[in-house]
Amino acid sequence: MTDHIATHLTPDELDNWLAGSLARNREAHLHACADCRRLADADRALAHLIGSLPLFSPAEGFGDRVMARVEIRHRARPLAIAAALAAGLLLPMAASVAWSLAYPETLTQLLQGAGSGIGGLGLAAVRSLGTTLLAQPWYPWVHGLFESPARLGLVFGASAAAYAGGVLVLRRLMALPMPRVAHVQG
Amino acid sequence: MAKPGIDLAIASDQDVVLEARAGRQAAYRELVRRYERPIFSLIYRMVRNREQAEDLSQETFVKALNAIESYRPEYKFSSWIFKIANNVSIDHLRRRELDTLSLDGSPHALTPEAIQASALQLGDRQETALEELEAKELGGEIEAAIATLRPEYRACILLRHVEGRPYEEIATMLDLPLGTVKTYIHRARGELRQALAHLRQ
Repeated sequence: MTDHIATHLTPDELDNWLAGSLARNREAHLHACADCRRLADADRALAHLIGSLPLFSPAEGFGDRVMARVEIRHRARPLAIAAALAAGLLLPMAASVAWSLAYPETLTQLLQGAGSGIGGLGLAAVRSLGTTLLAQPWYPWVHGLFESPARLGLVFGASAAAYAGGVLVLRRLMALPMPRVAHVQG
Repeated sequence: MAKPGIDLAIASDQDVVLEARAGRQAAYRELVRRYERPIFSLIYRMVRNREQAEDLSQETFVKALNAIESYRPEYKFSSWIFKIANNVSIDHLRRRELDTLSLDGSPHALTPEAIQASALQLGDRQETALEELEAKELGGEIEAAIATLRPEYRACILLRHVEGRPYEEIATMLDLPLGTVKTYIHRARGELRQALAHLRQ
C-alpha cells in the first residue's frame, strides 16, 4: 500500500487546501514537502490574482437596450383570478338579493306573471321540438342505440373519449409558445 | 401591469423572478441591474472585444428574460443566466474562431516568428478609443495569460475564481461532468502558473 504521507498532494487535495479543508495527515506532508508547498503557494497566489480581477461595466444605457428587446408577459396571479371569478359571481347575486329585499311586491308580481307565461310557452316549445325530432329520418337509428345497456355504454364511452380528445387538442392549441434557450453544445 | 409588491432591492433572486413572471417590469430591470456587470465581465474576458461583449451580453439577457417562464426555480438564477452567457460566448467564439487568437499570439504557435505573426497587432494602426480602452482593461499580464487558455478552460477558471462558484455549480452551468470541470480547472491553473512564472520569480 502506498504511504499516504509520502505521496504528493493531488489536484483535489490542493483545492481542499485552498478551501482550508485539507486532511491533517496531508497537511503534515505539505509542510514537509517543498515541491507541494511551492505548488500550493503558486495556486494560492494565482487564485488570489484571478479573484482580484475587476468587474467591467457595459456602456451606459445597457439596461434600457435590453429592456427594449424584452417582451414582458403580464400573467395574472392565481389569487387575482380567483378574486375576479368570485367577484363576477357574488356581485350580481348580492345585487339581486338586495333588489329583492327592497322590492318584494314587484318581485312577486313578476314571478307570477312570468310563471304562467313562460309555462305555456315552454310546453308548446317542448311539444313542437318532440314532434320535429320524431319526424327525422335518422331518429329510429339513434333510438336503436339506446335500446340495450351495452350499446348505451358504447355511446357514452365514445362520447367521453371524443370530449377528452377535444379538451387535449384545445389545450395544445391554446398553449403559449415558449422561446428557445441556448444550451451548451458539446 | 402587476402592482408593486415586495421590495426588489432586498428580495432574493427567486422572488424577483416571481415578480418578473407576474409582469412587473421593475423586476426585469432589477435582474439586469444585478447581473449586468458579472455577465458582461465574463463575456468580455471570453471574447476580448468590448463591442462584441456588449452585443453578446444583450443577447444573453434578452434570451434569459424572454424565457423567464421556462426558468426552474429549484436552480439558482445566477447558474441559469451564466449558463446562457457561456453558451452565447462559446457559440460566438466557435463562429469567429477567436479562440486561437490572443494579444500574445496563438497558444499553438511554436516559434517566435509564428507567435509574432499570430499576435494582434494593436500598435500597427491608429487605435480607436474603444480599442485603447480594451487594451488598457485587458492588457494586464494575468488577463493576457487567461486569454491564451482554451475557451472551455477560460470559462471554468473565471467562474471558479472570479465568480467564486463551486465545482458542482460550474458543472451544472456548463453541462459538463464534475470530473471534467475539475480537470479543466487544474489544467488551466497549470498553464497559468507557467505563463506567470516570471512574475513569481
